[in-house]
Amino acid sequence: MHSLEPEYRELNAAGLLEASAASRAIALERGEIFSVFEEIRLALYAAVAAIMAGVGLLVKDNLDRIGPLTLTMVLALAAAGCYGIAIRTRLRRETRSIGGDYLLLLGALLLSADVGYAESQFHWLGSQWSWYLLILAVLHAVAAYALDSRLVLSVSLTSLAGWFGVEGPMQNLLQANDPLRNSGFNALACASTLFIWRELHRRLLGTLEFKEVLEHFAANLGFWGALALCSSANTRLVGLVILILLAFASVRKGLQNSEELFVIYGIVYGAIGLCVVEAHILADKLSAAMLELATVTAAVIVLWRFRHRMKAAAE
Amino acid sequence: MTSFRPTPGQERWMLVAARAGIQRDAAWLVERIEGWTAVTALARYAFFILGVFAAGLIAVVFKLMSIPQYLLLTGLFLVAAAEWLIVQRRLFGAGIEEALELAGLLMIALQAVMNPVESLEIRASLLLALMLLAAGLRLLNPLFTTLSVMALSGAIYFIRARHTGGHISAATMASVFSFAVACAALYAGKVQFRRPSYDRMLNWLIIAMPLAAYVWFKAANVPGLSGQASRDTWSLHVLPMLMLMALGGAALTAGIRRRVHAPLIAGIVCAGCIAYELRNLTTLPLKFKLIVWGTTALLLTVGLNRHLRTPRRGITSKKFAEGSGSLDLLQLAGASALAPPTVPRPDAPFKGGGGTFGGGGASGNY
Repeated sequence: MHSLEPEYRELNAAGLLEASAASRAIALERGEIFSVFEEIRLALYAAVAAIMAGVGLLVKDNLDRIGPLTLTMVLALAAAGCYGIAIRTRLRRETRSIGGDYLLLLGALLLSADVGYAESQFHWLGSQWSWYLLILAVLHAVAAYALDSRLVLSVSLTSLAGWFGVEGPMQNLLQANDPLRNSGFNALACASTLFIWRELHRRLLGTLEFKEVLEHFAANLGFWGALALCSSANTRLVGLVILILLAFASVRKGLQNSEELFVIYGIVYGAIGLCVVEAHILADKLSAAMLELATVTAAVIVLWRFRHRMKAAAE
Repeated sequence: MTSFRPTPGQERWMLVAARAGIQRDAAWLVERIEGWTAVTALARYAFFILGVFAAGLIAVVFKLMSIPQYLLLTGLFLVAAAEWLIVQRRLFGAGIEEALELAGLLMIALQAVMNPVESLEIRASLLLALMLLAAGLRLLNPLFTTLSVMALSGAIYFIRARHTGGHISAATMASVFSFAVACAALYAGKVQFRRPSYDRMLNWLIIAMPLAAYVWFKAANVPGLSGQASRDTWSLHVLPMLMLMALGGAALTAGIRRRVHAPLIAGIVCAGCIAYELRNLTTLPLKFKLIVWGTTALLLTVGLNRHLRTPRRGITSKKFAEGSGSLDLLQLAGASALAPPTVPRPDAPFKGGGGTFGGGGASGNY
């Protein structure tokens, strides 16, 4: 155990920390206030993950005994219950707690599982079955905006990415013979859609938190798409140009708004993409390794310098 | 003043500056920190990843240049580079020096065990534990010290297995060692340290070692591995449950009394292990067990959250702005990961976005 109380007192005496902030920090150090918010969030996430793993198995097993209609109804009722609690909180104009947030997330996930299962059983959309993902993305987006939930918004964006054909772990993009490797353009199209969404959101004075979620998803999808293009011989040049443009835009945004993560995205994804291209185009292994080493070293130096520039700008 | 690493006082000021969001360049603070530089958590991860990547590439370059003992040379070069960054550039917890120091020490260890010798696994795990400990103590990094203790539990397993020839007794011994370390760390956590990083080292051990103990215990009871008849229910299920319950209870009590997060998380970890151990209590299929246990945990947590909305003896479920931005992002990524996978129809191949190119409803070929 350690206590930083003397340091906070000294900071307050030196005028570097306001009295209210100092007394709050000292109360935390003494344990007079102790927040278990993160522990509760961890437990809630684990609980929702367990439920969804169970529901996933339930849907996969198809349950001949219960029947698809019953299963669809049960999942819909459970999802409606979760949404109902969130709607009631909203109507009462109360602030939703972290527990309420995760109940709403569970509702959204159950709805996704339910609609996916129903489509696979009843074939409502015929040959255009993948459109159920777009329907889900729209439903979740409406719920996210109506109930002000970033978690549901992220589920909506995942459904949208699924509709564009981008699904699965990122490392798959770089594996040979993986179908995702050909989905670089789809990922870029999805990122562009999110960028347009983000612009509309900004112009309509949407919340800052939603804008951040849209930006992070768009940035990551865009970079994944560019990396996928870089790893394929036919699209390498296009991928490289897009990667460099994206890296430049990301770093510029990060520096302008003091958002460190966007600077990191630009430099780390940029370095990875360049290394992938270097490894593919240079036949001599030693030359390729030395060039990759130079690229990574340059990335470290550039990231360090940009960090300093951001610190200087913040002062 | 020391160039070797920050003094406890300097480390405390660095932590306070990070928590209170005060610029380290402020003249008043510069005097107290004396030039030591740290970065944010996100930048630290990025620098660490780039550092590990660079270390691997240096080893590849040395190998392709056919330099003899290239791992040893790379290791020495990397350690020297890391020490230069610490002593000359005064980096502390910046990620890059941690990556280079760790990679360097591990490469030296790898070179030492390259030649096939007798009891290779014992030597390798002991060397790994030693190098991780050296890196952890030098850089005051809790991840490295925890990994070192885990490697040591592996060494205990190999030594015991070699001398007794039994898988069960060796894994049990490793499990007991891990459990003892968790208990000792929990007990030592009440000591007042001046250096915050010592607390972090103990906290990581408190969280990770109960899980390590449980994993070793399960390894001791894998029928295929042991080749021996399974033991009675008492030693197989009840004893570890009791031990986990005792440790979990003690950890929760200590966490609430000391107002520290790590023991509380250790309590959650122990509860997770107990829940896993109780999975065969009923004959329900796995899917129903997951749904029932998950719903129970969800309702209990929501109830606790509601109960603590009004602080009880200072304990509250309300959020305090203590730099949890990266955890918020992690939460969003986690929510995306929970989204159910696409359910493909066997008779219809997937067409992203309804078309061959572009999506957004486009249906024409590109």
